[in-house]
Amino acid sequence: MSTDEAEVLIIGAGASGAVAAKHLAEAGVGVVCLEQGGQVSPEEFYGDKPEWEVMSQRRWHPNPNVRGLENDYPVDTSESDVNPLMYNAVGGSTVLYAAHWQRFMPSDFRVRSLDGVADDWPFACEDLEPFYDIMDVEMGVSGLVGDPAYPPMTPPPLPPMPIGPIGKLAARGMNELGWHWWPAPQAIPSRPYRGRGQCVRRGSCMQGCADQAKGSTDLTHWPDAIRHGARLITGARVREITTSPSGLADGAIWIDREGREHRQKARNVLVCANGVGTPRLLLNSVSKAHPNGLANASGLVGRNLMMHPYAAVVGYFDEPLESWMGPAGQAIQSMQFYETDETRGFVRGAKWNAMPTGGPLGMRSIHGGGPLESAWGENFHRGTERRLGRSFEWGIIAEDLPSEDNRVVLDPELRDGDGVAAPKIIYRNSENTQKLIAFHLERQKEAMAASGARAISLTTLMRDCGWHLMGTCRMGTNPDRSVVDQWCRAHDVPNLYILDGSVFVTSSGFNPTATICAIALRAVAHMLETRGATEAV
Amino acid sequence: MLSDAERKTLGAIADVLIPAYGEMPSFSQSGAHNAHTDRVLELRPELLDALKAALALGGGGGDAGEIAEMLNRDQPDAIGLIGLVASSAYYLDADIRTKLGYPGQLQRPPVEDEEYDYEDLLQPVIARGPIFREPPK
Ligand SMILES: Cc1cc2nc3c(=O)[nH]c(=O)nc-3n(C[C@H](O)[C@H](O)[C@H](O)COP(=O)(O)OP(=O)(O)OC[C@H]3O[C@@H](n4cnc5c(N)ncnc54)[C@H](O)[C@@H]3O)c2cc1C
Ligand code: SF4
Repeated sequence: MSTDEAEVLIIGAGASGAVAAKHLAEAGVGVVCLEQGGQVSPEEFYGDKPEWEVMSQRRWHPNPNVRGLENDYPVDTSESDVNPLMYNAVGGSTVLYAAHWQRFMPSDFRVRSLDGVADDWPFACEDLEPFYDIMDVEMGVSGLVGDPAYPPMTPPPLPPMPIGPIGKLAARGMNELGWHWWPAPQAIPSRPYRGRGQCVRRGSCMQGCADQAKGSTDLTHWPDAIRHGARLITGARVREITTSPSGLADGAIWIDREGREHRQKARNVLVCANGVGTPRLLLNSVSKAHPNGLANASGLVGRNLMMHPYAAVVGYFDEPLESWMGPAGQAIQSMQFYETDETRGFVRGAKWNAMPTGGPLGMRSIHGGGPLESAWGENFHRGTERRLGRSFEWGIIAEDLPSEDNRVVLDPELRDGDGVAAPKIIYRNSENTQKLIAFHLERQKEAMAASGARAISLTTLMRDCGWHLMGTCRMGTNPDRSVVDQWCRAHDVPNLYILDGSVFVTSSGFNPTATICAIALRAVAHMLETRGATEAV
Repeated sequence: MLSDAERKTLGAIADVLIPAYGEMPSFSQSGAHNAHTDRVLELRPELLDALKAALALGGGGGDAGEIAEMLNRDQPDAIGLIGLVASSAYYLDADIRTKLGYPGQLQRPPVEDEEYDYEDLLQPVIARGPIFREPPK
């Protein structure tokens, strides 16, 4: 294996890593990327096979502890209300994401100024806008311009996906109540786009898109990055980032799938390992100059974990809705209760998404214990009859406020398959979040009633819902209160950058990946602008 | 793979969990205890040992309904696992899917006139105007 020095070493080939690799490589920068997983090929997905739901319960489950694949690392969740979810391969968690492609609101960047909690971001929404626009084009976003929940913005490149029977039913209920809704923006092409096929609405997006339509970064960014010379090394688990005697990052030690150790030297290191993998790696990178882990002089690496606790109401209807049809993510969204209204007894809010409910097997649980007849016997059939094709879900992306107590630490005992210390999550829902969820569930019940639901069921908190991993290396201007600056550069280590969801100051009530990518792109643009003037590239 | 005796026990207990209902056949009437069960276990080989253990707990003969109740009371994980394998196998069956009106996850590419066939529904939302907060500059 070569030990040549890379101009830029990227760790993690997911959303942020792919965006950085493409743009740096296109600008002529020498990029090496180390990714612990492999390249997933479409034949490995089951969305186009009858066994799709069987495989979603383990092989394609979003919880790495359930999958337990070689490319996964275990996570101790014994002290967490929520399990973190992710996928570890080229494309990262976008291989399994639902591709809701959401921009943050202007107010999301000014939470302290507006609501007196958390902190303001070191930049404003307008600063991200050009990068959101570029990302829309690169991902192939479908959507409808003109949503009154947002300031005016550039239209996405593709028309919206049809909202289908469930979207229309949900919309009628919202209209009845005079509440906001809008066709959902998605990184899913409604028409053939840049070599990718049109979405065929199979609905298996969260177990991987067998039709290769969904905008996951293994498809949207890696081919371009590689064409422009980026070197992607798969099966490469980084154990630690190394530093020079002066304390600068100078490369990484990684382990291949045969257990052999390698060293990759680099002039700059970009960490893109997600909100759990990044703090884990930094905390594992201890040296004389960085005794508490790399970039951790503030002690904030791993702190302020936010995961968007998810709650939902499912409504059951008399009419057939084909509610197994995709996209699996969302047909319409609502920001009616997004902004703070203090009369509700909490601050901040949530986006709602109206989603399909899948096939007949659904989320059937392995646990028995309740009265036998409640889940089985005739009720087994009645449950399927009630749900299959005749239901939809209003889900809540609840804004999670940062708390230093919610954190990623190194587990004292748990190790991954290569013997590297695994992360432990310590995470509890705050009182604000609990009140927020309770309020939103009540409103969603009203929305379901207005849509004519004949019955509903409630999920007050889904444990397997930590699909958004944010905040564990927050950005800011004060090095005592943050890990990176607004350009994602570590305050303590000027040639180390963190580009993933770890840098979020607040979580917003939106799915984060459009913002993760826009921030990564903005940071890369700044690196390129200042090229030569600093240690960067 | 399951032995004949284990398969028989699975069929008996799973018929309590998935009985005949209206148009729907019971678990064994559908034949799901054969090829579909094998397919589920082929795809989820890690379930096999635990399933065999669960079936051994209920394999002494006797009334399947009582065995299922006993397992549910004393060994909830065992009945949960039998139920998971049984329902997974049952819903793999093409006839069962047809009876449910479920075609599977099909290709249904959007056609152009579907893309924005809800303009009228959206009018009140547009008419109410902006709902976002402008933060201080
Ligand atoms: C089921 C599911 C549904 C989701 N739906 C949505 C949605 O609809 N909309 C949305 O906005 N977001 C969604 N998300 C979240 C979205 O996928 C993530 O926000 C996004 O992928 C995060 O990007 P990232 O670059 O931070 O990390 P990731 O995409 O997670 O990539 C990190 C990469 O780093 C690699 N890595 C980690 N540690 C190491 C190491 N030590 N050595 C080498 N490699 C390493 C990992 O293998 C991985 O490939 C969803 C996620 C899941 C799991
Ligand atoms: S619904 Fe569209 S994006 Fe989702 S899996 Fe199917 S083809 Fe892919």
